[in-house]
Amino acid sequence: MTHRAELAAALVLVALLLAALVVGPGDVSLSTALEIVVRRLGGGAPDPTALTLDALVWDLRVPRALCAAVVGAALGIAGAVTQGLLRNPLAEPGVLGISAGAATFAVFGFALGLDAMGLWVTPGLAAIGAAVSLALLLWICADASRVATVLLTGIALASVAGAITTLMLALSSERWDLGLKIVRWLMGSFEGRSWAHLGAALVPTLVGLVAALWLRVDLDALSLGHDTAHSLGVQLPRLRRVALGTIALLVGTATALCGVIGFVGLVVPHIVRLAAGPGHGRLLPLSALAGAAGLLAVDVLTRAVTSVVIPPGVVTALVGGPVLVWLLRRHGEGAT
Amino acid sequence: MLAVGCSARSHGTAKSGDRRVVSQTVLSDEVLWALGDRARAQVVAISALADDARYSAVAGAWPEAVERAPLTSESLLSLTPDLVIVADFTAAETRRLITDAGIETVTLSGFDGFDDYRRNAARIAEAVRLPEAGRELVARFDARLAEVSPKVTQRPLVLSFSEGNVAGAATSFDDIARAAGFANLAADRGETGHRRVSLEQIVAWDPEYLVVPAGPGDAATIVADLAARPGLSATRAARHGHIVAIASASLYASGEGMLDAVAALAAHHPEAA
Repeated sequence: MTHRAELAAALVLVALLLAALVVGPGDVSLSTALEIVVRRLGGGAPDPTALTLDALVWDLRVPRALCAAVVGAALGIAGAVTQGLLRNPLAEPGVLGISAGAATFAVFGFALGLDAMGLWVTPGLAAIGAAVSLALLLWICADASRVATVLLTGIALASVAGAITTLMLALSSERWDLGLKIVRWLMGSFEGRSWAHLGAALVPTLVGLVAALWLRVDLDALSLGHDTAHSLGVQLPRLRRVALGTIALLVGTATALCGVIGFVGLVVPHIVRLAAGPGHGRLLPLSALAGAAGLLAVDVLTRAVTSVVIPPGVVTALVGGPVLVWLLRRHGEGAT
Repeated sequence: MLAVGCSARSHGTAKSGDRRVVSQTVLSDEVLWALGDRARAQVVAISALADDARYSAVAGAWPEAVERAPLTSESLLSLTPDLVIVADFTAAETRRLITDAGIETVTLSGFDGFDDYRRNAARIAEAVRLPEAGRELVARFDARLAEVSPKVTQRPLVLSFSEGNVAGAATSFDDIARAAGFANLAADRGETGHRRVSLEQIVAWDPEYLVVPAGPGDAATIVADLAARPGLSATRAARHGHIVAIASASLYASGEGMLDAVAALAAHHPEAA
């Protein structure tokens, strides 16, 4: 088996990481940026004669690019697991209500002014929201035997969480600064993401990635149908619990890190499937790579095209919406 | 004439012969209060934000019996006003309903600096039939502006930063910065109005002074947080201790509160005594 797709995705990712170092204000050349990165990686102090350049590259661009890559990888692989679990290429982690639950808790923190307590508060609340949403989903669906029931329950939970978020937004309409803060967070952003944010997100994302890869054989068996998977020794209830937990961990972490970014989990696995086939042994890691490259590309390209701050969630929705329509037309009712 | 401390009930109902005025902007809440007893006596309702110290310079000043009216068509009409003061950002449906009901409406527009304040204050004063009081109010404003504006020989570059937004030319902050003896960095770089810019852009601009809004009691926390924030910590403003927190009610003000912001910022000018 050749791994051209993996190699291509990795090369694109590296190229985008390099581009992320030089795109943006401040006139930073690639050689200067690389010199700063190498010096700081070696434990060197910032050059006192170039503090601004050092801050631009090391404090802002590198963690921002890595955050975008981590979030893209988490959403890409979470999408692949969701589609494998639900045996539906149109499924997306957002439908399980986890992103919406995370967003609700984060917005609740904004409304109460808790975010002023520190940078960790909003990501922490979003992670708790994701966990609570998952716990609710598992509790409600404890006896459900059909995946469709889980899916519809997730949609219902997402709807309730969305309504609560909208209510808080409506109640804050008298305070324009609060409303602005909430709307901006809901649109998703990598703005101002630091090494501290990245550090907090890295471990849960890696755990989620490893857990997803561990499920690859069971997900392959499940793609042949529930009965076949059962006959092959797959413990379906356990697979469902672990898969849902993995999805929640990955999506919750991504949402906590940068707000709600939709459609990556839908589009990336689908495109990867076209290139690498349906086997989860390749689909999962390639979805992580492609998700990382895709979201980083969105961030780098929007920053290269305009100095106006454009939320990545808006771009992914603009791209993902038409792709979803295309998928619906391509698969017809069979996919749903 | 009613005294300032007259019964709240008389404010809420307006005496026979008085006009019933409903104010639905913070600026008109402030101007009507500043115009004095004869204007206050006409007011039956003020905006819901009038008592919010983050935005209003008259928080807690108006008697409790004066309604704090949420901006809904039904609540406005139920007050049976003769005059409603709204803004051009008020929902078009609400404004249409008021005018269709035959109620006199003053729609304020432009809340971006000293000239807008002078124009809006005069307009409000005329609407409540106190034009002379309006002229006196503007004269007092200009006198205090001259008083708080320092004479300086150098103008350091200052940037207003709030929720990711900077204030460029044609904003209240632009007037505030110039009056306080500074130059507005965002305007200097060609920005107009309130514009969202990236943190990277702010670091690349490297402001000498950074002005941020603060609520009551949280200025020190906000300044410390910004001074330690990755990227911002490398700016001259952070390194030299030039991050200035100004009360949000002053910094966001479109009325006399702007002068408090001028005074607060001027106190940080390097030539300040």
